[in-house]
Amino acid sequence: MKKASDVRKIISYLPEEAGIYPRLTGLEYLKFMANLYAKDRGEVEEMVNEGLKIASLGDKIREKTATYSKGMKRRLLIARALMVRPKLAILDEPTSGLDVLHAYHVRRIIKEYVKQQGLTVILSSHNMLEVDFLCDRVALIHDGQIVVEGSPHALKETYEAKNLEEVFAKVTGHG
Amino acid sequence: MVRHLKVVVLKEIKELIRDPRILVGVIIIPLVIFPLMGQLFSIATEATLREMRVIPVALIDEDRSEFSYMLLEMLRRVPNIVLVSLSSQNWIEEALNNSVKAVIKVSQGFASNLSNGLRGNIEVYLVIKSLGMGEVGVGSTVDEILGSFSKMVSTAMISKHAPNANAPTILEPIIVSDKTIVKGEVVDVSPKGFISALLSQTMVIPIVTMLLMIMAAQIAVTSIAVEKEEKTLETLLTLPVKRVTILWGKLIGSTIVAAISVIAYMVGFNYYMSIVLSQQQMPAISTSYIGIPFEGYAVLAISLFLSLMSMLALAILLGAYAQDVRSAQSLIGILFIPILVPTFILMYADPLSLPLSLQIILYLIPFSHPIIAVKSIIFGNYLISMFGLLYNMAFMVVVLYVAARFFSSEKVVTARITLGQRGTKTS
Repeated sequence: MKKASDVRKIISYLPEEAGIYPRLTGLEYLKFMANLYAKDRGEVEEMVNEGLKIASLGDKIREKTATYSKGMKRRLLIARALMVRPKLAILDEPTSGLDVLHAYHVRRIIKEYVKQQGLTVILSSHNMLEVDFLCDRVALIHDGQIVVEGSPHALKETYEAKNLEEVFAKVTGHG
Repeated sequence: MVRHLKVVVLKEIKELIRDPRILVGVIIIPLVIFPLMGQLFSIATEATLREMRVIPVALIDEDRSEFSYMLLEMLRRVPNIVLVSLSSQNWIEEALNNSVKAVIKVSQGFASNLSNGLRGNIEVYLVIKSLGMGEVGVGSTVDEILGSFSKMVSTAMISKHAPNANAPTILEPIIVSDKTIVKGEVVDVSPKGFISALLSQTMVIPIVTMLLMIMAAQIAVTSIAVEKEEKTLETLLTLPVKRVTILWGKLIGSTIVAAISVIAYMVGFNYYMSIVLSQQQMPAISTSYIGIPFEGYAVLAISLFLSLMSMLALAILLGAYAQDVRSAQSLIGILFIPILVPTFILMYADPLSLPLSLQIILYLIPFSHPIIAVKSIIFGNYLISMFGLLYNMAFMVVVLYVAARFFSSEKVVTARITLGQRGTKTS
């Protein structure tokens, strides 16, 4: 990892408990992030526009993030992680603690963005329905070990399960 | 690197300036508190002066001699004194009813005592109705009048007993004219006046230095603690920015906000001092004796910059160990000790006049050097300030190196000091 900052250019990481600078507006936050990734002003503008589209926060984007709900903050964070067009995005529990509508919005963004931009996402989640909906390949981890991996469809077929939750239970000997 | 630095600095300034804890605590309050104190001082002074404009004074003359008449005449000539006559029996009650501030009683036998070579007695009663500077002013006005009266009596007695003698010479036989030698030249000012004028100038710089250091340290520690509290540090460290750039962003951002804060302090403080100093008389001394030359300011600025950077790097290191802003604010108190100790010692004492052990401690504290530099530069002694610069530079390099190493490691995310629990835990 001699050129850590170069590696960071192509990776975008969203920690589970990530926060946002509360005294910046949503727009200022996106601009701050874009300025650190983009090479020139034009690229900054493109990234910010992309971020605005992903976050879809309307006029709220011009208000300080301290006034945002948890769901709005998460939408902004997802926008920040994806707008910089990383080769790899690592999203840790992207919808944890969100209400149904915000969680739905976030999942839809991830799904659409991956399809449009062709980026790779490593997503960690406890929500097996979310994993089923979003992921092409799944690795189930139990006690810190990968116990099984494959596509959601193949796993369900192999374990004759209706969903990934059942697969997990069977693999770990609880089903 | 420079573009990223600009972006990080801008973000730091926005976050800090908009933080109500910083905006109110270090910018708005000094702008309000000092002028308010000045206004209150001015109101209090005005009230005292108003009280002093008319002072009702009563003279109870039990002696009825030429001397007591002399005192009466003297009192009549003092513009702000209004004489009130009181009867000898119920004079206290009458004095209170007539709002008399002071009663001067010339006892019977005053003149005959003086003629017999004894001392004459005068009693002074001050009516205290409240605690204020007005009461003190009345007392000193009466003291001054009686002092002049005493001289007048002495002159009269000398003229009577020795008509050929020069009464003023006998009363004040010696004329002392104080002069001071500074930088090898004689200045026509008393050493006391010179020192007070010099202190009034040199004390401002230690105060400003102390304020700047404390403000900057508080701001820097808040800037890193907020990142931890708001859980933004982890994300910040995953961005394509060199860790050192983040560190410098915090150092520069904190310095800029601290400078704004110190300007706010100085504007407020100057306003306060201009009101307070307008009441005092300072001897006029050419700035060539007590001023700081241009190259002196350059040395001072470099010394201040080096100390400031060391302080900020230490504050950021300390802040990285705090869990939140509150514990960071407690931890930063440790750094105030090496700022406050040299400031208060050096405000009044010259380092060379101190015991050797204390001198060594002061020279080892990097934050002493800007203050030592001011004092030595005024007297043209650049050797000590140059030593200070070299020492501070070495100290800053070491502290910044440690801070940069710390920031480049993952410890910046995981470091913790748990206050209020047994032991110190670093994980």
